[in-house]
Amino acid sequence: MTTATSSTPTTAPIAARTVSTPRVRFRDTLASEWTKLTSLRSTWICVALGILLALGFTALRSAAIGNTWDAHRQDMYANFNPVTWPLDGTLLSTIALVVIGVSVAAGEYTSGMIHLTLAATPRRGQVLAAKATVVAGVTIATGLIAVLGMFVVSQFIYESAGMPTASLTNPDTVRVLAAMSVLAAVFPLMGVAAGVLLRSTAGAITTVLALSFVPEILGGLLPPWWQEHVMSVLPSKAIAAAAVGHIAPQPAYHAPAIAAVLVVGWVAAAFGAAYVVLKRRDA
Amino acid sequence: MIEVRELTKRYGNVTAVDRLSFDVKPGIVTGFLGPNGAGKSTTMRMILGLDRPTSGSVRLDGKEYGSLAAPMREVGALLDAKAVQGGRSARQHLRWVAQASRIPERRVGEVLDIVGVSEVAGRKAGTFSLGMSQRLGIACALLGDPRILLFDEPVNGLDPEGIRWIRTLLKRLAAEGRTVFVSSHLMTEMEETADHVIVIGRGRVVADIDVETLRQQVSGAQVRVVSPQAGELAPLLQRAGASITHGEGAIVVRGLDAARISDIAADHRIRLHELAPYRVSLEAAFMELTHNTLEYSALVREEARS
Repeated sequence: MTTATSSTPTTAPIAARTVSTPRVRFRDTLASEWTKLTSLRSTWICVALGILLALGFTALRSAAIGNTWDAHRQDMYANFNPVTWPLDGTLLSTIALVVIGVSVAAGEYTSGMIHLTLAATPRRGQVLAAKATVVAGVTIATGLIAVLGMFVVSQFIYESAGMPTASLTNPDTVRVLAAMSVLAAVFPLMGVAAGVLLRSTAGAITTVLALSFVPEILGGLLPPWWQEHVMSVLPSKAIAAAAVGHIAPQPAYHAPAIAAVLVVGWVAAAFGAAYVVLKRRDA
Repeated sequence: MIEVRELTKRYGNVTAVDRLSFDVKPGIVTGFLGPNGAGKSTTMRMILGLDRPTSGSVRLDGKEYGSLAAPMREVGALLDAKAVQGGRSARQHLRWVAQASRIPERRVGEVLDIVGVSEVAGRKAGTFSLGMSQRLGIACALLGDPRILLFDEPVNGLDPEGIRWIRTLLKRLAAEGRTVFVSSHLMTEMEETADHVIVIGRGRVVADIDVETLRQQVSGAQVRVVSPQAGELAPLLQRAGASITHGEGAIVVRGLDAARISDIAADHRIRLHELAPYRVSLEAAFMELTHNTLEYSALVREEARS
């Protein structure tokens, strides 16, 4: 260690050879945020967990349904849909992907590195947009892999259990899978905004996971009026409605188009708040 | 050139920085001195556009920080060496900073060489000692080859070798014509490095003065004298025009040089056990400055002007 740092550095020239000062563009900020995200091992651990948890959960659940299919096919599984049922695995991958989103923002506050980030890029909105873009990119890609994986694994299990299966040639199926992949970015993006707002990794993760899970846990217990007018507006239901509402409607689902607007609205509101705070607050 | 004008930062009722005005000139090392909590870091963060001033302004080579086309190519800063995410390698850390500032990636290798951490560039920054972290932070500041450099307490936690290295580097950067602004809470650290010091206390400028001028002001020669007959010697010296302070087992004489004291003692057959001329340290002067904040402010500014 001593030999590494005590070498006399004074022989190397300090001046760089380039002199020009080109203006920093959005794509420079984007490249920088991409390097930050991909150079941390925790990102890849979360990506792997996101995929494995989704696949594992779906495989177990599909196998369980397959085993009891003959006994229950008439009553309990009357509403069985081979496209939407495997997708509950995304609930688990959400946890891992939210951690990525939160870390991208809150991780810089807990380490203090945000000073360097904002000194390098004083246009704070540009930093926020770049963070959102890289998080969306990674989580949508992860979502796509997870969703396709869950679909393939579950159809294989369904088929061998003699259950109905779905095919990728059906446009409805493709639409569900594509929508689920894209919507995998919603809670991680809200994690970025929450990370900026709360500046705490634990606080932001808790907040976003509460927002995503509490309605799922409590929602079914609420009376119909609440389902239709309150639950349906919350992001978790809006995501589900936007993705699968057209083939598996529920009382708590708005029409897919409305649901999509709601989802965009939630993300926009979170980023609006994060932008205002980031812009005004001392770093 | 950094121009700070009437810079003020208030947190509720607390005024952390109180109408600071000073210039940091290129080509020299300017020390930014003050006790802990004097407002040095807050001032530096405002210079870098990180904290919004309550009032006042900062200009860097005539421009506001926020309007710089590529800030890190014009201003480099080391604020807190430990403020890096530990899971990333030193090289990756510098890579993202370079990309954010549109600095070519080969520059990363250059600055790693300059600060002497190339051999450990692949290691996670979180495993670095404080000294290595400081070097990484300095590499980061040098990345954009900026005309203006700010270092907040850069020698904190460094070993003597590291301190000497930083001193050499700072002087060299200034000799290249750059503006070099270095904060410290210890005058001893700045004594051999800075050409000029700006001293603040309780958020205000207490002194803005050349180190050489300050040295001359504070260091009327003094001589420490130990003698078994100090009681006899003291009045004799006073009669010759000296002022005497009694210390532990010794007297401190101002206004006469060692040769004169020795002669007087010999004339009166007084034995001397020790005769040691010394200069008041800048550290002592600094302590005095920051203790009586307001009076000194007026005094030193007048003298600096004349």
